[in-house]
Amino acid sequence: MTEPAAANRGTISGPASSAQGASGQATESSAGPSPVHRTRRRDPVPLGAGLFIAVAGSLVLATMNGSYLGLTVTTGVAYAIVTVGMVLQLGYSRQLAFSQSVFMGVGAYGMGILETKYNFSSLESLLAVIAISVVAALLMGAVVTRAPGLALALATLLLPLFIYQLATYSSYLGSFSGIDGVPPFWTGSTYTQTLVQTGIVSVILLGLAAGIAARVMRSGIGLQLMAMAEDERLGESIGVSLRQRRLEVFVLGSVLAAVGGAVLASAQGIVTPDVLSETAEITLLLMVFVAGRKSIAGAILGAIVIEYLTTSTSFISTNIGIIEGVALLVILLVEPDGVAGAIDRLLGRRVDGWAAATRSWLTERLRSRGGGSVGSGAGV
Amino acid sequence: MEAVLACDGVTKSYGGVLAVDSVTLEVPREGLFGLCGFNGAGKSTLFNLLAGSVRADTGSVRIGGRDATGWPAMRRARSGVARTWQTVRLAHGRTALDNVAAACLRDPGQWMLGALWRPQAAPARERAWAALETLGIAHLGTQLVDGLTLEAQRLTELARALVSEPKVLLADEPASGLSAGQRSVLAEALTAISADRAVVVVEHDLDMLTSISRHMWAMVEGRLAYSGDVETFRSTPVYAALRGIEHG
Repeated sequence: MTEPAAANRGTISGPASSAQGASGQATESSAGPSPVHRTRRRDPVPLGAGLFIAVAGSLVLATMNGSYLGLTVTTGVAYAIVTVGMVLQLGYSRQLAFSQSVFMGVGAYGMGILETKYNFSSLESLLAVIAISVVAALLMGAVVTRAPGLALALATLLLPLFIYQLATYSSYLGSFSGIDGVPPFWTGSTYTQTLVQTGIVSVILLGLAAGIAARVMRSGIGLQLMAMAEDERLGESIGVSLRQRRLEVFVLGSVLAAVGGAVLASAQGIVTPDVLSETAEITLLLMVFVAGRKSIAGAILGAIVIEYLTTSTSFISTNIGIIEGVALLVILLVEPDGVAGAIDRLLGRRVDGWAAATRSWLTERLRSRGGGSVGSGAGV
Repeated sequence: MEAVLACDGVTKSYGGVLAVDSVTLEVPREGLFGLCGFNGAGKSTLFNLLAGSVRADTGSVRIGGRDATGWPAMRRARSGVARTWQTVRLAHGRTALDNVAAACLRDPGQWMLGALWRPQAAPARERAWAALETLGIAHLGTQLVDGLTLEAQRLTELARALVSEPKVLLADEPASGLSAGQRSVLAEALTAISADRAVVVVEHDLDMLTSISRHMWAMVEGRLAYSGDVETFRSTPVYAALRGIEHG
């Protein structure tokens, strides 16, 4: 094969020939969108969802009037704050990291130490816990989020085991007994009032967490996360900084886990190493996967329902390890998107069916009047 | 005219196999340029090297005259290099609109905290609508990409590449899997797009490629075997060999 002189050097020296000849259909336009396509600038959903959770949750807890069920729901709310972060981290961004229970421990032990050993108020402790978890997540995330996908999961897999051992051997952390006497968020004049008020603070924090997560997921950054979750090379090719986004998601998920841990400590009044155990990590995964890993509402309901079930009967609480392991296995095999995914699929089928029937009916009507078809899109 | 994108002696090997061997080329600011070659000739690898998805073993890449050899794909994308993929890459379970909007944030490096006050999604979706309208598929904007035809998916991918108003578009086998009629629509779209930016198209459909390109590159076994105008290309052994393959 004879190679032309220009082989292996592709410089074009000639004048730019015109590249017209197009129909104009695909001419790049800088014009704005048509009025029909102008999208809503303000997104009321995150704020509305956050307010709804805070108000409705407060009302529910107030009606429970400090009962055992109310305490269980408040504990479930603590886990729900963690699972909301997991929806963003695991469900939406597909960042598989097993560090949530560790950061729950940071939050719970942080509250316990600061309040019982250093006489911090609940608010001061909470703010300090948030600051500590941000720094810890940034330091840890700067290292572990360099690893993509499976490597990130493996890098964080041993963390709960290591930290759990550390907590059980540390006398400063109360070893197996943990730290007792953690004050509630908001002390009332009676025990019942204290439980209700602490529950209300907890659901307000949950509303805040859900609002923030929803805001991020529905923002432009949420669109970027969606693209990089599908395919990291695709994300990079549209200008997404993978390291920045991975780190941000890791930090936000970790901080929410720490806040959840703080709420747990405040609600229960005691912190034990159990919060750091690998069983706790599996429980959190189950809470997220049962209801649907991509749904904030599902993650909240999943956390509260599973917390209720684990404390409602001695059979479940005794055999929790087996039950959670089997349940998680079944869900991952049968319906990885959980209950929310199943509902979406069922509703989707019905909506698709209705849409197809309507389109068919309209097409028939138009044909009978000499018109074209409906909805298939010209040439596409 | 200064090249909008150029590479000088780029080489990439995988396990001792030279995928791209000392390729040097310059892409002018405007026009449509064809890149062809046999399967495994190194075309897609060259695209990956130019777009930054893969780092070159040796050689350099320049974008707008600046040395971009060490730049990651993200920075090259933000500097005006957009691409489409041989196999369509779209985020499943999301609408065509959202897939396009993801690529046109005014501030793609915005910190996550900033998104709480300035979410950027609404203006991005408006720009995405405009891009979909430009390609004639705005009516599909609210549909999930999973249910779109291959042509619509490829046009959505094209809209995503164009919505950031890139200086150069690298289109990797955009006509793959399309019918003759759909290829014609795509060819018109690509030609129109190239009126005010550079478009480099990798394609096996030589008739389509030579009919729309103003310049051709051909790769054989990782090396650039031809670089020149289309008419001369048609008289080269590379062209004959490629046509032979094409026609069996």
